[in-house]
Amino acid sequence: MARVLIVDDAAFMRMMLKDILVKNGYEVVGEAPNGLKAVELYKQERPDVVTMDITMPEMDGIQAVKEIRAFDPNAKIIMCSAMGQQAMVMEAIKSGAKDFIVKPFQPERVLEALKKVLG
Amino acid sequence: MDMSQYLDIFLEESEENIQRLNEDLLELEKDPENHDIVNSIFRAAHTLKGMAGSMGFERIADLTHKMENILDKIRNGELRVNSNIVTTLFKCVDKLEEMIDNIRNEGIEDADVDDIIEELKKIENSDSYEDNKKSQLVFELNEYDKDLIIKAKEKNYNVYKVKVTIYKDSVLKSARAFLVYKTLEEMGEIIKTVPSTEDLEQENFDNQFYVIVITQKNKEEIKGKVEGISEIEGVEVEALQENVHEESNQIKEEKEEIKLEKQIEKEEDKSTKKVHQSVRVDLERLDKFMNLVGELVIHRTRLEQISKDFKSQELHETLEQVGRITTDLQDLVMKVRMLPIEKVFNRFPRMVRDLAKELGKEVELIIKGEDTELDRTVIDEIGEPLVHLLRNAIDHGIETPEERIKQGKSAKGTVKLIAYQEGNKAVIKVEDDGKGIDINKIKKKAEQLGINTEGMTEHDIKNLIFLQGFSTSEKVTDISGRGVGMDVVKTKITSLGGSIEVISELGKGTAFIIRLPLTLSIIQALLVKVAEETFAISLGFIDRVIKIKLNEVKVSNNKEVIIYRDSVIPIVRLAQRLNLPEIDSDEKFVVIVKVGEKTVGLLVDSLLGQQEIVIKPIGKLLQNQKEYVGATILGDGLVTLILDVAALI
Repeated sequence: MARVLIVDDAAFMRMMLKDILVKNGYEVVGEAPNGLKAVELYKQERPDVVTMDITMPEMDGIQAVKEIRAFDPNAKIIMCSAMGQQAMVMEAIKSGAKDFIVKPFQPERVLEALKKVLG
Repeated sequence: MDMSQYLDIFLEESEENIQRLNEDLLELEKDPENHDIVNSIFRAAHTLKGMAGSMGFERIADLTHKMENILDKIRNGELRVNSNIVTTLFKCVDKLEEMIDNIRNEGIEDADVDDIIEELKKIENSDSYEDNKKSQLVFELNEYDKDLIIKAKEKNYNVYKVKVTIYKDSVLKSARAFLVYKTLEEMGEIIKTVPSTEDLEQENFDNQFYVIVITQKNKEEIKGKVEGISEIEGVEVEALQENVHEESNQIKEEKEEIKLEKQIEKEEDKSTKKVHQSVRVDLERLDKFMNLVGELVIHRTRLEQISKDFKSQELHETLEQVGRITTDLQDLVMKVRMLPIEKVFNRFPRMVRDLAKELGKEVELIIKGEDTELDRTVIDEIGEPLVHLLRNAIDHGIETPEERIKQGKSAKGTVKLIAYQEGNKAVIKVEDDGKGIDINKIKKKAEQLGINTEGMTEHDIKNLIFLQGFSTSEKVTDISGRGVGMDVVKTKITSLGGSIEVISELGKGTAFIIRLPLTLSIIQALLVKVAEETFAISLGFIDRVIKIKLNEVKVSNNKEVIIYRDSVIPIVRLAQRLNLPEIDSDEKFVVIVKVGEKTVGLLVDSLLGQQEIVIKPIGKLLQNQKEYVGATILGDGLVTLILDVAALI
């Protein structure tokens, strides 16, 4: 079963996502509240896929994508974006994010994105 | 406060603003996203509103106000420009023009603006966004794209059209589209998206878009990759089978040429649009001025003649000075009367647009040399024949888009309107790249009219279309084809001292070439003697003058001709033609004149020399004497008739 790293500064969001994932058979191998921690956890856990929030303290999602991709060019990262963050999502895609999901999360959309990225 | 004293300036400025509105709207139609144009339109409407309000013309003020509302919404991005909006705005401009005309003629604006205001309100309240988005999704390849595709195929790359449909309720659709774009870009080269990448980025699309990609990957790989993105409803990958091989290169060249022309035009625009300081002068005063200068020229010539008898050095020198100054004065007054033909050309883009829409054709009008200057009499008169020629070009010349594509032409037809100066003539060309003139149709028609076309050159046959009652169009439309057209055009142009001819190639297009004198009032002329009478012939027509022996005149095809430098030139005996007694002499002169492509020799008895003459109208009584364009007074006070060469041959 695929191993997922959840990155989001809001514990509530992490919880929701974790809920959706676990119910559908994914294994959550770690949770990070900011980009810095996310990079560290990625190197440590080597998850199959990362869900990455964009706006976070310490290091934002875009920078985190860049650093993770620099460490592992095949890293699969799905951005978690709020509405109106179009430009940042594009930036993240340019930096190598594979897909994105939009808050508020709809479980089937989250699962679809994960399934497709893991393809 | 009495505003009537401002009426003239109000009318004049309103017209200028309406003209600007027309021009800007045409631009806007081509470039809907350009906010500079919207701003310019807004300013023109706003100026009109202010002026009309002050003058108490409520309806104009009201209508322009409503226009402003819409333009404002466009400026603020609340409305998007679509063809419906442009058409409605055009209607408003027409309405404004109508009201201005009514004010000029009757003093009141008097027009029904309710309907149009209703339409404006509808637009104002509607969200044009929806149908705009849909209307944009028309898949079309331009020549540049086609060329890229051909080159890619030559290198054995695959060219796919990928149609992507995103979930209807997806949010951040632009980012989604971008993700697709990025994914495809990793597999090849994207040459085009529909809608454009800018529109995709700004989310100006519904939930579908096309991407053309050149790649070495196969269909399945492409489809699989795009389907690997979430929130994608469907992906259709289709290999592009554009049969663009033969036509593409040629058309591309043409396009480039046009682009180049446009660029040059733009550059010219920049350099010529300087701010001129000017004074408005009543035309009547100008005509009077012209006339006085004319009189001065006459008397100068007369003085010169007298001074010859006195042989006084001092008198001679002074007269030479006077002569120079009169020549300068003459040049100046001529130039003052000259107007750029821009004034006439300005209204054509709008006309062509409307006509093309009405007929369901795609036409691009290219105007060049609009700064060519002509005498204002010519400017006033030339509009009508040009309208006729343009209408003909669009109605009969340019084919429907489908037909053009079938013929291997680009869907969009081109009509060129070109003016330039050539010697002391102004040339105006109306060219189209349409179907051309079918010579067989003309021959058939000529037969019906009892004209024998045997022995005529193709060129001459084509020029038969200028005859009265000559229309080969099978159906009469609103626009043209009644057979009263071309001869009216020719008559008008001849009456202006000009000539017209047609050059046409079947399937390739038609060009009408009009040659007009730059000025109508003062000309260089050759004075000739026929029997006891003196006549003037405008130098503009004269190719050369030769001396012949009468026995050199031969008869061919029942016509008298001479052979000069290996070419056969028909002869017109002026004495015979003008009902004068023929003088018995062995030696005569032949004045070889050229009208358009036609060359004819006029047989005269002797030559008197070259002189500057002032054309005076010959008055109503003699007006139907078609052989003469006017009269002049020579230095010795003798009244001399000026021959109308175009009418003689």
